[in-house]
Amino acid sequence: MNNLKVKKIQFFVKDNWIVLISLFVFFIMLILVNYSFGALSLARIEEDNLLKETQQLKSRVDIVKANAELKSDQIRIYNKMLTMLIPDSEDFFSIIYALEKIGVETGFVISNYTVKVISTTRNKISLVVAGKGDADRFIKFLQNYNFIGGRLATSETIQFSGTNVDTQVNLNFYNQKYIPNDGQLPQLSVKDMERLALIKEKVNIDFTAEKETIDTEYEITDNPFQ
Amino acid sequence: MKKRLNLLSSKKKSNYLVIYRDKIKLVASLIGVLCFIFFIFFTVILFRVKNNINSMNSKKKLYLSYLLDNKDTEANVRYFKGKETQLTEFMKDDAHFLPYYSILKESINTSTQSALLNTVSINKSRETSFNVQFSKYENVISFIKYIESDVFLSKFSQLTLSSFALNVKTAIGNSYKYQLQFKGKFNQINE
Repeated sequence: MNNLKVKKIQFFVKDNWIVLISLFVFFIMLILVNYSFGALSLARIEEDNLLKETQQLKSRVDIVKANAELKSDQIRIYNKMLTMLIPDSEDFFSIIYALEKIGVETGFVISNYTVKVISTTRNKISLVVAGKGDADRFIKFLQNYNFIGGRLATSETIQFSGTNVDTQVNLNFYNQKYIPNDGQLPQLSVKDMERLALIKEKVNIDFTAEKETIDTEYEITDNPFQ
Repeated sequence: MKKRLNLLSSKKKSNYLVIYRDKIKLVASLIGVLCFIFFIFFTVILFRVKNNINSMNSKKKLYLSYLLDNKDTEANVRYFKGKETQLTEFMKDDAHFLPYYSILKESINTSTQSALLNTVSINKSRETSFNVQFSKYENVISFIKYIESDVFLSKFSQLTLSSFALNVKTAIGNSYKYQLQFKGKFNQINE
């Protein structure tokens, strides 16, 4: 019985071998096409992701190159100045120093100041500053109060009489921590640098002097009696 | 019932593979060839895409090493821009008094030499109030003519004459006969 079945199969294969091979090749081809299509789809996704990534990196590199042309040393100095103008945390002594310096540099003598609690916030200290000076000195004060003290100062309302002798000005001083972000790298423009150069002229402090570092690379010994 | 055997009639065995052998061969070969073409096509594209991926990977490596070498510059630029943005934001609180005051002073001097710009107040929204004093009636008239001109009005988005007074005395004792008080808002100027 079994012999008969084997014989039958043998005959069947002998009669239809071409058809069977055709079907086999057909299935192999289907598997290959399916595999290559799957691999291609995955490669396409990888290519797209990589393309986005390289484009972002390229734009970052381009911007770093462009920014490097705008004197990186200069940027370092401006960063020091900006940190001084808007410190990360409030330092009341630097405000007192700034008021002192504004008075000395402009000739507008600041005689008294009080904190305006209502307008003071976490990032802003608002002061009412009383000062003395003639019209010319007050004009000089108005020209320079923003930066000359070494702290950014703004005044929301100013009243000026051509004959000012005693007057009061509201001054705001700011602090804010810089929070780094990984977003698009900003492109610096010549205009930015010119603006900061103007501010630096007004601040009039030499930021180029580096702090002396103590050399710790001296020889040490484990035995103090040697 | 008795079973009978009829040797004349034979049951026709239907073997579909035998019947459709030629058609199956043809269709399988055609689809097989088509699949082969597709396979070759996909493989060529895959090869190109892989090449592209490799070249992009080497570019990415290059960019990353450049950025790593210049990470200080990048950090400095980010810090600079962050602090500069803070500065710009905080400067919006400022009244920018002097440029607007200069505009006003120049305008008044253009209209008449004998006018005195007495008190000027400007806030961060560019809202202003100021008063101008005159000793002669003719000067008042020439000033009013001037402030109605487009040259003067172009500096303001709104301006109203809020009061008019006669026989005023200034703090330093000079006597002026006429005083005009204005309220308004300056147009934004590009500093």
